[in-house]
Amino acid sequence: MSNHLKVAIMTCEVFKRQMMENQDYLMDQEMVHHVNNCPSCQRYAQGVSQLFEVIQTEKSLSPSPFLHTRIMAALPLKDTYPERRYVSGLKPVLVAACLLLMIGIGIKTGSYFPVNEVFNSKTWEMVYFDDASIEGLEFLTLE
Amino acid sequence: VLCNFLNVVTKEKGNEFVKVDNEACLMDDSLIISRINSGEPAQYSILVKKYQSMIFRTCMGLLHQREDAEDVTQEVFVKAFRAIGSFKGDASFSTWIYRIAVNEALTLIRRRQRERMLRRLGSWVGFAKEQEDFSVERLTQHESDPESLMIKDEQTRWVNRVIDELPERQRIAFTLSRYGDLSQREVAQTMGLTEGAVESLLQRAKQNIRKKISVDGKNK
Repeated sequence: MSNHLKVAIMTCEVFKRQMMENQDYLMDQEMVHHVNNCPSCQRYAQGVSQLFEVIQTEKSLSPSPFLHTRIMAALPLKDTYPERRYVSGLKPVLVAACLLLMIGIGIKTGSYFPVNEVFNSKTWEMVYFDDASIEGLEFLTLE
Repeated sequence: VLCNFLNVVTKEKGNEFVKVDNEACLMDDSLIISRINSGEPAQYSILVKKYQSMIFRTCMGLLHQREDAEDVTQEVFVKAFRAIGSFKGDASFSTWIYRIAVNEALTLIRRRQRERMLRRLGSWVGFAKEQEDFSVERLTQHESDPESLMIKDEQTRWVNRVIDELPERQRIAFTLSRYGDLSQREVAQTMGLTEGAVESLLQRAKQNIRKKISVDGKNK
């Protein structure tokens, strides 16, 4: 088949399909001939070239050079040790046990102080202020 | 053996950085993972170095924003690290991490869609102004001419819209294939489909893009 005949049979549908399949955006002779004579396919070719261009631009973007550091900093590295995991599982139990122990120690310590001694009215201070027997009211009123 | 040989060569050259990069390229992923699981979490750095660019590129294809793509890449690696103990090795590490990346990116897209919908709803009710998505990256491009910058911005938005309007599975297949440069087989493994199904998805995606470009071309 001659080239001239090939050019003649290329339809818009074939052109469009070939354009999308063609990742390098290279047109062969018959495609060039078709696009030169078809305004609709010219607009289409423009659209496809824009599509590939934007994809290429987005693909060529490289991540920030600090991304690796950022990722490594965000990793919970310490939690990966099995011993650590075991401890972290027991943590609430340990906290509760410590709390109970502290309450127990508090109660035990409190029980060493006899309640009667603290609130007894017959302490030496109270006796000292109870001076009614030394200086009676009758004595004052007589004067 | 090859790694050890390279270590010797690079030590002689006194270039530690090259040594790490070579190791990253040559070491088997399953070996690195087994080391991580046996209490050497710092080895994960090699996997991050090896796959961060590929994951970032795929995220760019789905999200089109550098900041979002970087955030999702970080999230992907953190999630993969947390779940690395459950990695059985049935599929390759790359397939596994691509799957996490696609899921994470889709989660963010859905969240953004919800936010956009709420914002639109707010603007209808009168609580908030509807805003256009704005990226600082667009301003840092090299074009100094505001007109060409605007045209390019418009083109980029249009292309992104063409890709984003594809049905979800077609979009994932297209992105993994075009942005991630994955083969049909790898795309199939990542999406949990057969190669035939992926081929069909890619064909339909191209067909939809073709239709969209033709329609938009007529309207221009």
